[in-house]
Amino acid sequence: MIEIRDLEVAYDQDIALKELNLSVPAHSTCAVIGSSGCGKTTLLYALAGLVRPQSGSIVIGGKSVSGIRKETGLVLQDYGLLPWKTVRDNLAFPLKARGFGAVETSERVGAMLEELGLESLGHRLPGELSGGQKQRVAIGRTLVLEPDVLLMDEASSALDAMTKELIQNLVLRLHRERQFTLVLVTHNIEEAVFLGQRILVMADGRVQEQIDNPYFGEADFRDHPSFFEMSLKIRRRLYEQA
Amino acid sequence: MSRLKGEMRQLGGDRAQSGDRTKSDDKSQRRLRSSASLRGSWLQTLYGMLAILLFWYVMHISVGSAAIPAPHTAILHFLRIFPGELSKHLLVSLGRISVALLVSLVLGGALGLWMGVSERADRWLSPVVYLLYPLPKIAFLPVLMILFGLGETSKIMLIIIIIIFQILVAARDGVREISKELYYSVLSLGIGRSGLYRHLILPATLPKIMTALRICVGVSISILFFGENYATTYGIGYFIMNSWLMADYVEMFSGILALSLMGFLLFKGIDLLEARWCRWTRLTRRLTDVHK
Ligand SMILES: Nc1ncnc2c1ncn2[C@@H]1O[C@H](COP(=O)(O)OP(=O)(O)OP(=O)(O)O)[C@@H](O)[C@H]1O
Ligand SMILES: [Mg+2]
Repeated sequence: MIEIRDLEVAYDQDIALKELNLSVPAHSTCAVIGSSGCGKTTLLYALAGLVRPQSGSIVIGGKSVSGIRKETGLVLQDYGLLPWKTVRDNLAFPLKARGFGAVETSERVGAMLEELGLESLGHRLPGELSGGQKQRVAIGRTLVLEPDVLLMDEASSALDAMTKELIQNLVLRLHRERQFTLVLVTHNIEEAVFLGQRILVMADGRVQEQIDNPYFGEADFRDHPSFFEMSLKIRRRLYEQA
Repeated sequence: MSRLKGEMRQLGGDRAQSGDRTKSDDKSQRRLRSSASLRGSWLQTLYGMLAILLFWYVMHISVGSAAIPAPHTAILHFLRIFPGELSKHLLVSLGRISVALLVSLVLGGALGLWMGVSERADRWLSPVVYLLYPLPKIAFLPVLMILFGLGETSKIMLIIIIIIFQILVAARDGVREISKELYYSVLSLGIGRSGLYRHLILPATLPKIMTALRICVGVSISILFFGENYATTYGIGYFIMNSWLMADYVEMFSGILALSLMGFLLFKGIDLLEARWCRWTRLTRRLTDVHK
């Protein structure tokens, strides 16, 4: 589904990504972990077609990425909600701008709000929401567009431990139901282990290691010894890179 | 499935805190709050008027000159002449200012947004803007008179070339202040260029533009006064200067009252538009309210 070959991205003179190769099968999930500044966000921007690579290629669904791809959804760390639009309008405006009629827009938005437990918050402004609620709205806003690729950056890093796990559960459930290909950037080892079918360890703008996570998606995965094993393994690899 | 429900309920935990507050509850509360603040704003206006009247009385008594008539004399005269002559002058002035504000808003706003969005436009236009901005443009009045004649156009142009920069710079800076993350988030929704302007760029810059507009109202009233002192027998500026020359100070103060009324209405109008269009900014303002 996603094929990256010899990708190199630079900001002016600073090289942020180099010789990056990656392939993510359709409908699978991939967690990207690495220390601050190693290029994780840049990788997502490149996948979303927001920054132009110096060299190399990104192919999604058989087509080379050059610019915004309508079937790719992006959720960034600060949620990216429009503070002047209510929750409902934040979900509705991309649909309307893409030419959906009022009836279909309202149906889709209503269903999504319900699915995310946000029905009663539809008329609120983002400034009147908690962090976890904003995160759900941001996820909902990309999902109403029915993407086949979802890119998430630090999806839960600003949330408390409890809310963090609930958001992770939600993402896992939505992935099961909707089968999008997920690339998720995180600082958090547990999050990478819980949500990554494959875990990428990045350092210095390169993918240093790809670790398959055979236990991904097991029931109550967090309570199993295998979860701790995996977490330990990732932690060791991270320290080796540092 | 029931586990999923549980998860959702937990996720909505913060909702439980506020009880089962429904949409209509929230709305009626909001209405209550806004009507209370409306009443508050009228009380504030009343207070402002009383404070100024008091100061005026004090000046009237302590200076003891005909140049500062008693407030009640001026107000009574104002009420007498307003329906006839004075309102005509006021409307002419209001028309001139409105046209100038509107043209500046559209032209300056569009140019500023363009400079904010396009790095190239900014590179080529900013130096020009920075060189023109601080010039004393009143000094160009003779040039304007030659170019646009002595009529309305030169008066309105004078206001425009002074206030347009304020709006232009506000719009440009407003675009620049949009965070990269917000920009990318919205861009990734695939809503196209016009969608980007309509849903992100315009609303994001609007509060800044409204603030600039408010400053422009004050400035344009002062400039108007200047512009209405040549080649016209209409306008509140003319009315005031004329009364002054005839040493009719009660009449002059009636004109000043009319001018302040016009300024007040313009400011209130902008406040109303801002309250309607920029409601979201009120969530973050008023840091001092936090501890109440
Ligand atoms: N706009 C920019 N201009 C110049 N350099 C940049 C820019 N954005 C990022 N960089 C540099 O590119 C490198 C990768 O940045 P990136 O934001 O992708 O890192 P990250 O892994 O997401 O970090 P974090 O975990 O802190 O979010 C860093 O060295 C950073 O300094
Ligand atoms: Mg980052």
